[in-house]
Amino acid sequence: MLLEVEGLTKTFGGLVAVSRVSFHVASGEVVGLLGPNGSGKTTLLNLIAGALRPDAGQVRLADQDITALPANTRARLGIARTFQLVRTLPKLTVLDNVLVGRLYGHEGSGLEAARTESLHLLDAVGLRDKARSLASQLTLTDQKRVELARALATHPKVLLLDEPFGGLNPTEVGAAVALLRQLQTSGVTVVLIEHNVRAVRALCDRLIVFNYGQTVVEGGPDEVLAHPAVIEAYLGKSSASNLAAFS
Amino acid sequence: MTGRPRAWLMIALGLGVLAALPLLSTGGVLTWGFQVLLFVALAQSWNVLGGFGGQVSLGHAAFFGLGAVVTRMVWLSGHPLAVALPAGMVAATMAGVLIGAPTLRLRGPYFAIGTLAVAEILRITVGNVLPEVSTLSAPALAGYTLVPRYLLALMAAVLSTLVAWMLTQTRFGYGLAVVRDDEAVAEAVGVNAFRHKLAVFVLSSALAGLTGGVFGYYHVSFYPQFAFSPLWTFDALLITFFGGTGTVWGPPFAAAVYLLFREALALRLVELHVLVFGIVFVLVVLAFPGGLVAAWRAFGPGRLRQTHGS
Amino acid sequence: MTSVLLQNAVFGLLLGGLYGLGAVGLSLVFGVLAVLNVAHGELIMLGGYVSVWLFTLWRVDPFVSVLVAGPALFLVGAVLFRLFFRRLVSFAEDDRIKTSILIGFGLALVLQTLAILAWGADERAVTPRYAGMVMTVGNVVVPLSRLGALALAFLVLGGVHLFLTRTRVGTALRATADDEQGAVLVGIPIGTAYLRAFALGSALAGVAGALVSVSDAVSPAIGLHWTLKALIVIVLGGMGNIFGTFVAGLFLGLAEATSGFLLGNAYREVVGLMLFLLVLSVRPRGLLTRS
Repeated sequence: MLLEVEGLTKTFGGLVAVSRVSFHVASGEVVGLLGPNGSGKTTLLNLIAGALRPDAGQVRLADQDITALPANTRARLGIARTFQLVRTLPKLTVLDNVLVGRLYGHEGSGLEAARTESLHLLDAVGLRDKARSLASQLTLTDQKRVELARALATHPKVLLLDEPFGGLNPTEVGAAVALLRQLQTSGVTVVLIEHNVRAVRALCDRLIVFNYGQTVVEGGPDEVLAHPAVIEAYLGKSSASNLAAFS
Repeated sequence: MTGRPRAWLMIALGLGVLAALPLLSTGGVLTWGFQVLLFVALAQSWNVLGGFGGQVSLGHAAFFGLGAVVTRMVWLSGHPLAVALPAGMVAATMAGVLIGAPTLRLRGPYFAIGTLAVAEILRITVGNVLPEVSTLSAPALAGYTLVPRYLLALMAAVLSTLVAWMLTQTRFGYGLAVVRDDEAVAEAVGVNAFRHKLAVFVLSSALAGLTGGVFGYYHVSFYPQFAFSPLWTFDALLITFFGGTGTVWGPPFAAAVYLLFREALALRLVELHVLVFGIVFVLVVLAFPGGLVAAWRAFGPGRLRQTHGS
Repeated sequence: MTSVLLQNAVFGLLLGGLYGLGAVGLSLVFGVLAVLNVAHGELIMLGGYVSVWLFTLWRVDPFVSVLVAGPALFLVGAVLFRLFFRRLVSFAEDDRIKTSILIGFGLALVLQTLAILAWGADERAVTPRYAGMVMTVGNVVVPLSRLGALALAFLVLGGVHLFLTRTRVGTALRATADDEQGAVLVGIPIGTAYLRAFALGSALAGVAGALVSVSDAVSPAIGLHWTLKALIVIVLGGMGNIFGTFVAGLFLGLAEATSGFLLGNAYREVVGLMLFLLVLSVRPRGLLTRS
């Protein structure tokens, strides 16, 4: 198991955002986290990435307990993430955005080597020709690619993607899925939060569904997406009986 | 790039002229030159923290003052300048560590007023402990020459500008830029934000201490408390904002303009330059709300090269 | 011995009341606009000068000058808001605070310089006929003018409290301070609320300044001094409650007096600043939470 999460709990004031969540992710797997808005998915991601400290529970990366480690240390150990509302560095060039990831990520490189590799990464995500543009001048899709390239530049063991397809039109989603598929073949382990059922079906080996901060169902895409509890979580009790609504 | 070697040549020429100034001109010009260079050093020392680091400190005078007073005291107690100046710098650097570590835990606005409070504490304490004016003795006065002071100021200005430039060329500088622009992203890619902020805080204090030391060596007489006055902080901010926070060449240019105005306006009314520049400062802050770096970049694509060297 | 301590304490409380009054204006502006006007102390200084000049030219009693200083600084505040701070209201909160600190810093220096140019850097005092009159309680001497200033400060704050809680305009201001988005949704004209809050805060500074002139000298340099006092008081006293701020002011005055007694007068100021830093370090946002 590459990534293990055990009994993670996080409360904000009176609100329990994540409640005793446990799951494992094997090396090379693509796991999807689903659930209605407010079910705690992003909080969970923040807990794994180290942006938040849990009230209880453990996070282990390759058998190492990383629960007490700050986000930047986890990033250097191999956990990379993107943000739900894309956060590129608008005042820096596209190249510089990715460059930082290579300079400071896992076994950070020197400036020259980092620059070369960053250009390769931009190639891989199809942004080579925009390397010198300011990140603020890019479209949303392209900014998401920059974020992805930046995450990849850290040489991650696990990639945490928070709604990578959010805000993209169907064509853009198709292109993004293709890109991530390529990534998959190179053996990167991915945990992604996503609402887009098609994308999730196309990419994920396994799905975990959340509601009210707890896991509801876990399993393969077909099995999970047809599960009554899942339909109920999204659409309410009366729709649970109408399985066709979800295909 | 063909531009590069030419730029270096121009810089070398400029430095040459500045270094040769003592040979070419009279005391009046040299004094003005000293002041410009002192303010370049002062502004750049703040620029490193506030511009490149994005941490707006209002307590900069604390480190300038420490450098000034410690250098002065060590020098006047009989030690050579080669000991006194580093002593001042060390004092300022140590203070930088002691003050930076706790204050950098505070969020932006609270960091600003927290550093202001610290600087005021120091100013009041120094005013109590060393209330008398510090004057040079008759022998020291007799042996006083402007030229070495001028050259020291040149050194401080060059060093601080060099440090600013290094921040655009090094790995540390990139990390700092990310911390400045979006701390959450910095942490997410492996940058230890706190360490970067503390490092640049200490760097800034060291440079301020050096600049203060030069001031302490230059002035014939001053009240120790004066070196800790918030006016020094304001001058640093003013010149940096006017020239362009987070740029390498903005502050030096602005320092020259500032002192030109000061000379010109002082002929009529001594304080008029504070008025003019104060208003300019407020207008600049208002006009470029997104951050001056963005504004200067918007206005000058050539300047873009200067802030990050890719 | 105890009577000296008590004497110090009384002076501390008397001064502290003014600290409180000085801080309430700043607190009001920060609460409603999320703008930290660090030029607030210069406004207090200007209030002081109103009193000084009215006395010097026409022998107007400083307590009467309060009636002029308040409205005068109300207008000054309105102008300053229009010119410099109005643009800030479109910023996000953190940026707003940070930028307002910079603008305030610049404005403070400009105002201080204008004062020096207009009236010189020297201290000026107001010396009404009752200046030396005192009341003696046991071993403690209480200067009547200072007591009067404290009483008036308390009254003014009472009036502000009533204004904020009993009038429509005041309630609108409190609503804006509480929840800006909500206030907009309910139809409160935010722009006007901001203007009023800023002007009112400045008026309070003017009143504080006039009352300061009753017992202390006024000079262009007192601005920064009073700004720091106000900042310390609002960090100590927290947001919201006017009387809480007043009490925090009294506390600061008392703390300064006690430390002055124990450590010598030279270090009075330092204790306040240290308390300030202590509170900030325990709660990095200070007690300045807007929510």
